[in-house]
Amino acid sequence: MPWAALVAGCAVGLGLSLVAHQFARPSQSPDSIIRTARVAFAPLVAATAFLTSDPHRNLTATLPAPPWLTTAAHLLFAVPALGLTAWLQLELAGADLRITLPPGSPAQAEHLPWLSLIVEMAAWSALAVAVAAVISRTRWNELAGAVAAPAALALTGVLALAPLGLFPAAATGPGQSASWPGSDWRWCALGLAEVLVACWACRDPWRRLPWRP
Amino acid sequence: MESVRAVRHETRTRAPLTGVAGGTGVRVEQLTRRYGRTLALDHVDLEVGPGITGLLGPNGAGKTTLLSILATVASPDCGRLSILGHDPDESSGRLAIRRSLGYLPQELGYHRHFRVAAFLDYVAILKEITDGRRRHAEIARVLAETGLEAVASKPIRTLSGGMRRRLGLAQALLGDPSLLVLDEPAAGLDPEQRLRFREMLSRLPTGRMVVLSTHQVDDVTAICSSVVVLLAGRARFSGTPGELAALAKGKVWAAATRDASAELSWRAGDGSWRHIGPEPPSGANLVTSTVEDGYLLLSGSAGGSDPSGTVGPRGAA
Amino acid sequence: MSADPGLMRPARPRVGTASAASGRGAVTRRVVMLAGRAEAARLCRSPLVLGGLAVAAALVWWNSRTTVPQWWVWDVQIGSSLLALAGPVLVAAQLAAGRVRRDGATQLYDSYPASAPMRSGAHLLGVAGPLMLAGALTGGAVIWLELLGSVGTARPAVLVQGVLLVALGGVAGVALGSWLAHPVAGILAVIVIGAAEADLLVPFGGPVQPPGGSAWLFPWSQPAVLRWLPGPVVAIPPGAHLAWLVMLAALAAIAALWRGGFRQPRPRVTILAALGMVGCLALAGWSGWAQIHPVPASAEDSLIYQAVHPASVEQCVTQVRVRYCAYPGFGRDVARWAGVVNGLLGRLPARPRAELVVRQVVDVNVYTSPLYGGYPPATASEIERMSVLAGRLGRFVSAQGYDANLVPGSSQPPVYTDINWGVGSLAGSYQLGLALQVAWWIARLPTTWQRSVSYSCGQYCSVEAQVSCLPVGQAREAIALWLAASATPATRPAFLSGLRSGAGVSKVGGAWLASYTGVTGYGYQPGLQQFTGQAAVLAEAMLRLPERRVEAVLAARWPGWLRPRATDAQLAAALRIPLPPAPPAAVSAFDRGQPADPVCQ
Repeated sequence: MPWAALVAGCAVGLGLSLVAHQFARPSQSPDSIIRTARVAFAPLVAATAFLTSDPHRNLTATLPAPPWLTTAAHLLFAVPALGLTAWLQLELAGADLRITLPPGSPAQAEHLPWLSLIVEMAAWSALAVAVAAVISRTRWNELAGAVAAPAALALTGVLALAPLGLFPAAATGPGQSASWPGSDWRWCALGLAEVLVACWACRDPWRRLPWRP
Repeated sequence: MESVRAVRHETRTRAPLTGVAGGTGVRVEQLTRRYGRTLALDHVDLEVGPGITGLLGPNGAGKTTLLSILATVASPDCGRLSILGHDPDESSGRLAIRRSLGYLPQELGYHRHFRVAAFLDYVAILKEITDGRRRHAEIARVLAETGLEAVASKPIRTLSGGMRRRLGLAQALLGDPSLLVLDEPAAGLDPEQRLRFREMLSRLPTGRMVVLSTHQVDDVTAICSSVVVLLAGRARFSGTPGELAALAKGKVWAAATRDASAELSWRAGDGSWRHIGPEPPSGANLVTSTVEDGYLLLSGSAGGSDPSGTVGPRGAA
Repeated sequence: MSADPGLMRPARPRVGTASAASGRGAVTRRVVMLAGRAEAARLCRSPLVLGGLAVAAALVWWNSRTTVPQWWVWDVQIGSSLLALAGPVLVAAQLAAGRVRRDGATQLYDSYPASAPMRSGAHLLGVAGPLMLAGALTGGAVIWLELLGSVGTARPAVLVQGVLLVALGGVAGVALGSWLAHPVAGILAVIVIGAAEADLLVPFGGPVQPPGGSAWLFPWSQPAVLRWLPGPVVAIPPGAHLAWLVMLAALAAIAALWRGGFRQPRPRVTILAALGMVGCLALAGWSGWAQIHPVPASAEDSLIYQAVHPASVEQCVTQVRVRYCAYPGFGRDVARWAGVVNGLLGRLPARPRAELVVRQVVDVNVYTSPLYGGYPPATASEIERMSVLAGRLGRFVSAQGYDANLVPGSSQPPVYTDINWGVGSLAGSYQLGLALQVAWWIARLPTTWQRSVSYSCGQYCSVEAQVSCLPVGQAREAIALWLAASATPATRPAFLSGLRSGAGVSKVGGAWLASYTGVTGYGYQPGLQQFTGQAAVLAEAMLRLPERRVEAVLAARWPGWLRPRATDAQLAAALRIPLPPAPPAAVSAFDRGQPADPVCQ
């Protein structure tokens, strides 16, 4: 279990959220709060990329247990830590938002799109796991995490620039456009695709794709 | 019992090293090293001179610890040590030793994405071979010695386990060191590669010192001019392979069946039983003792309950 | 443990201590140099570093596509682009420095004569590889921007800072890898530094006001307000920032080398290292403090003065009877403006007698909020001062829209252009903006509005509208539009795409007309080139005709076509084309309260 990467990622992510909370002030916009929350999630995504690592691969591959079990077990142990950290980060972001809102604002304006952000972060993490799982099937398997973490973050950056509506602006006030539900479905679809890729990549590496020179 | 005591007495009164000018060798006195509660080396006395010295011993005997101390990568807790005439306790002494040292650790970490030649080049630089031509010549030499010319441009991750072990040997040979410390050098080598390894060591100049640890007794028999047996952190024997074999002289028997009263017995490849013990089992014939027999007798004796290491039949005083 | 004199030891020849030490030093240097060279080659071949280099180059290209580069902005922007290289260099250096421990080869490497500090020194020296890549990219960017015709002069000290950022990334990576071999360490470090740089302190994310006394920790943010004013920004002394980066790199290098000797520390080395770190910290603190000093009042006054008194500082040149007035350093823009003006004037049957003056002005407002200023002013008086300065510039920018006599020595009506100029995909928009003003000047139509009127646009909203005359039904409007759209090859598509973006409405008398306002947001903005939909469609039809035919028709009755009596219908008849129907005016509730525009006379 890659505890070092997991603990480091969670600690750094929480640290970023705490620093942002320390510097929060009333003139910050909900957009910038959401952007800060996303940036603070990045270390967790980086840590997730290391969850497929198995330093004893040569040994575990010979066992009767299915090959995806290692990754699944790592995820099982990691999800509570990641979930707790993400929850704390979103709580801090919510507190930042409450600072920005003038007194007497409608109650629903205090809520960030929590569920949408969680769906988004889950999809990011699934992307990191999928990329790491694919790299684990190659000769670069011992560097899977080191490659997958920046690759997943870079891919997410590319997705942000693409006109796919995956990163809508904040909609916390009445009358503002709410494009979050649309982005939720897109992230779900993306996350599902990533999970399928990860499942495919975690199969028994015995059967290789035929290659003809 | 008496032969073992004689060995210990012989070790203490052994004559000072001679040979290479100035008497540079390896001399260890009362070397001790602990890992927590585990006593890895227990007041070891040792002398190594020119030639190939084999270090025999079971797992956990302290071989790797001793070799790592000789390679100046670990320090003893107490004792006196002189390697090539230098004191490794001083930084200048360590530096002087390392300039004449080639070390192959048991667990050799490989940089999987380095190419073979690039890795050797890097190691050669770290070994202070700064002249470009000489460095390239050295690399070509060690590649030829270890039979790795064909894979010089390949990444290390593509090499088989045996080839990686040979690469480890190659890096140890860079710079033509005076002292080679090899920890399990033949591990993972196939019989032909092992033969080439023996051949390579045999071709080394006579003034060179090689200390190698091995589980393969026949490696010791084939190439070592001296052998040290480490058991439970103590040097139980130091001498020639012939002297080790002589420990078991008159105590090795072959019989058709197993004798339960023998100290040690095992079935040989031809189906007969080989016994080691002072008394012949019934129907057994005396056979010529080998180095392995001497080692087994020693390790079997030291495995008894007597803390002084007195040799005796299993379970008997 | 001590050496026993009885043990065998060779008789060492007597050697002078100094020569032995110098020999040892030479060997050490050579080993570190050779190993450093090998590490540099590996770093340069690293996919991470090459990818970062590609991204940095792409950033330079991407950001230079649309406007003519200004060096006092771009020498900083090149450094910002190099951050895309510095991050991967940090990760790659961290992986390289931690390679020995990660691969379990510590014992092997400890047996070599080259000590751990020497190997760390080699890793530090290896950063020279990516440094050279950064230098090459900087050089390439300078050449590229010069080929684009940049204005101003690059500041070498600022360009060097960008390259130093890469060095700092590499050295920090080596330091990190010396202490932490796990690959996640470098990645997390890049995320943290990137977050601090991009999210917490750069204005686009909503800048953070560091608590009092800690601003010196984040001295890289510079006042955004000063970027928009002509001339170089003097807010951050380049020397201080350079020193800050060098000190940070030195701190990281000491940390990396210290780790190598950590297991067997020697008192003298430890003391020296500690003193070195304290010294570097002190210098870094001083240089950080020097950087966050508020911009000198004299510098602020000078820049604002230049902005609100352009006639007193601009340099004017006359080309083909047109006077071009530009701020110092913007001389290269004159040729760009002349390309538009000459293309337009060349189509006239006869040039106007009055002299055309094309004048460069600052037309952006300065944010008054100190937080959006990009640096935290230390005192309330500085905040007040900033508001006063912003007020001065704001009033000048507002006056450009309605005061035709704002800047002495300008044309009547005035023809202004921006301190920015478009290239690539935005070239047409900027050219059209200037062409429309020149065309309005030719047609004797006002380029400023007469007054501002506020009107209600609904229950909760209010709009301030600028009232300007419209040459309704007058041929000179369509002619001016045709002249502007034909000025250069790029103005025609810009004009046509502007028409496709949809018409607004204007009220003239009691009737509503479809109308357009200038171009789509690029170039000089405060002025108003409002034109009717009828003139727009007629000009569009004229563009489909052969140019010679249109020129012949205009020449036959020039300057009569410029009189208010000449109508669109007459022009269409002279061109022997049907008058295209005007687009319908779609009036919304938002528009109901709009004031009426007079007809131009």
